[in-house]
Amino acid sequence: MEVIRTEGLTKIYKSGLRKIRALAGIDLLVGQGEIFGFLGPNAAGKTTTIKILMHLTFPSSGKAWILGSEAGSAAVKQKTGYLPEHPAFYPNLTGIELLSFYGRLFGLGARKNRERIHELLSLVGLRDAAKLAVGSYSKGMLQRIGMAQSLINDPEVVILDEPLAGVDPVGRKSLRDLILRLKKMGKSVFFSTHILQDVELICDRVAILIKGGIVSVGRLDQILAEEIESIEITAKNVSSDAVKAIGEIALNVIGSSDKCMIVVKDEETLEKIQAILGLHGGKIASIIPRAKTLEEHFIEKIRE
Amino acid sequence: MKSLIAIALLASSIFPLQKMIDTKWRGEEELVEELMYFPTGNLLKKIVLGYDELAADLVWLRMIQYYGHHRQTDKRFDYLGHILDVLTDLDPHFIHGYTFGALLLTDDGRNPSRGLSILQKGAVHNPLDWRLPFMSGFINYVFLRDYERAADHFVTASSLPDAPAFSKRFAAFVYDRKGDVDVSLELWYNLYETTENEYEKRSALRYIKRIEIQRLSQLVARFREMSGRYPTDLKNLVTIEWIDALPEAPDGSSYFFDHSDSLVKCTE
Amino acid sequence: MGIVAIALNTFREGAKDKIFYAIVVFAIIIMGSSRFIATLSVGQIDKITKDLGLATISLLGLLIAIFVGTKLVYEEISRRTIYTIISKPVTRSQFILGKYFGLLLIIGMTLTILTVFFSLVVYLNSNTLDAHLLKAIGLAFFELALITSVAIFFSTFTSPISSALFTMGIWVAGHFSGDLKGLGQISDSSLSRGVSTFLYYLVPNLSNFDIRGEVVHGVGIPHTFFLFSVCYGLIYSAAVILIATLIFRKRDF
Repeated sequence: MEVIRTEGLTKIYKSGLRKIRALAGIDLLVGQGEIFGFLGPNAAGKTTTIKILMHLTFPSSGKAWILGSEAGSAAVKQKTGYLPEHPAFYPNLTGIELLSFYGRLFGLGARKNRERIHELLSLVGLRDAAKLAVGSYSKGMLQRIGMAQSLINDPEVVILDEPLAGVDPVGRKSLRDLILRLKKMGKSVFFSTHILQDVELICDRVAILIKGGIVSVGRLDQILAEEIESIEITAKNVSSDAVKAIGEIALNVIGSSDKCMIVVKDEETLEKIQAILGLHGGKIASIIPRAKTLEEHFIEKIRE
Repeated sequence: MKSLIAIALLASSIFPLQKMIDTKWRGEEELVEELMYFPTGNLLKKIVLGYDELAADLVWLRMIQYYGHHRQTDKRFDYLGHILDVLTDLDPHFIHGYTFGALLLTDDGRNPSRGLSILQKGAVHNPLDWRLPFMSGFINYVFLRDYERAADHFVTASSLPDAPAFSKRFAAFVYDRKGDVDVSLELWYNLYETTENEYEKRSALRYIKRIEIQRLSQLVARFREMSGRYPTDLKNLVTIEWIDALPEAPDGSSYFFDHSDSLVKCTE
Repeated sequence: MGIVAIALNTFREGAKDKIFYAIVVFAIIIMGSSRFIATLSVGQIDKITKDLGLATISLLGLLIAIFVGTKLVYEEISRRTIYTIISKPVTRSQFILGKYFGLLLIIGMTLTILTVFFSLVVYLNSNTLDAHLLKAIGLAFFELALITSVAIFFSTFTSPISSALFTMGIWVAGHFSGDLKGLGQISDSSLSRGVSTFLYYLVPNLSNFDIRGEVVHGVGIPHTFFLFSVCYGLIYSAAVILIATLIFRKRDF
């Protein structure tokens, strides 16, 4: 069962006489129990997509569904949790009052509300700061109270916009652990980020959004497996003629005739090297293909 | 530290500067000139956006200042009528504005017909208020000595709702004792006792004393006629039973006979 | 329900706003000062106290309605506190209504505090309490409810400064509405008559809510007038808030 689905989601902003296309036909599918990473550079349209899912913004065309119903219906909102980017809360309320307010918006009864708040404050580690005014919270604390409010209704799907941005490494780890825990509880998590490391560490599937369009999508290991960055060949007793010929087609050659390391782009070039060595002399000691890191994949996609 | 001294110096120079501005360039007439820019109170009504009654209160306060100022200086109250028109346009139910205004116009302003017309304007907007015809009767009797009209007004007043008993009494008095100084005295006493307006109280007191002195002077003159000399003390008039008791002024001062100039006077 | 939660929350936030305290203190100072002009007032201290008090209450209520009302919705959007609310099972209409009723609660509380103080001052000056004064304050509240709805309406689509100016403009026009009607009656061309009459009915007629003069002078107010004016206020406010919710429903955040 898919928990999130979009079809041809498009958003066009009018700025004066100009039209800015923020999203150009986004098709997304997020499955049950997945942690889905929505990756993209700044201003790619990640936040716009999420705002459409949360009914904060209306698409120019296309549709979105959450848990099988159209995004924006009250039934859907009842089962969704959301944390916006740079969350802003009423500064004069205390942590407890804030969560209590949100709980009431979900129609939680007073007792249930209090129980949930208790649980959540422990979960995000804000028990001590709960009675302080939210206006005095640090950025890390704001993210944590933000996470708490996104979970107050025990949602089935949790949508987070840049949840780890600006958080210190310790905080990042605990938030990542929290997300993994949510998955263990059977929830689905969709989060956007421009920090690759977080995606590498916890995501099942990933979509890369660049300039309003999705350029890759799929399981993380599959995406990266498709991309071989380079192949490292260690060769011995390479004749000078061979070195010259190799130098013309290889990316890099390090070392001497006795033992050198040749870096080539792809398998095709590898075969050419093998042919050259066979012809002019030289022996291949090892062949090691190096997969792209997500970062390299990402940057390459941006350049395209 | 230096900035504190500078601030103190600047602040202390504000007072003398303002005083100088006030004495050299702004006289008291400024107070009222603003009102002259409004040909009618109805125009002012537009500007105050619904806060008519409060604006009327401000005009009232200005009027008091205007009156007080001119009473002490030139005793001319040329703008008084206009001010009262503006006042009553702003707040047509401000009864005391009509009655006090009419009294001022008649007494100090020496313009009883203007005073009466203001009362008429009031009666148009407040046909059921007894105080307006009562004051018309008052003015007619005491100042204009038009006893017929006074009587009519008193009768009208007494027939209106909530009219106090004394309005009927005056209606009766006036029919019976036209021209009798006693009635005027009663009217002034009545005003003195019922008003909270210190100007009205002062005027009433002035007239009460004047009438009492007049009465006593007439008795003193008769005494002299009959006995060839002045009474040694006004109390003698009581002894010979020409009056029941020596009247005392409501402010506590007493009447006496001053032998140096042979006049009845009041101690204050 | 969502509306109640938002209303109570708005009330709590607003009650902590410093402007609110400043206004209440200011009003108390003004009303208290009427004691000091007693000597100048030549017997009119009663009337002046009541006129001043009623005007202060209605004007300061107006300040709150305009200055808090016009930033109420705008700030939620600009500060993005609205993100975590609309994403919950709360419709945009419920949000606007919640904000509106929350502000009415604030205004109601302000009026109550000021009325208590006002009654105290009136009692000190005249040793009586006049229940009719409360009627004037009651109608003033409905006038404020109307102006608040206008302020929130503008706040859904324009900045606080513009909203404040427009709302004040409507308030001023509302006091001139009688003149609009008069213009309509005396003009020659049927077009300008039509326009004036149309404007007269469109612009809120705020003189319906002004019974200050009658109350201070003890002139009776017919029950039916009071009732009709209250209904007018309720209906007009409801209409404006509904239009505001319609606009708001189309808004992107």
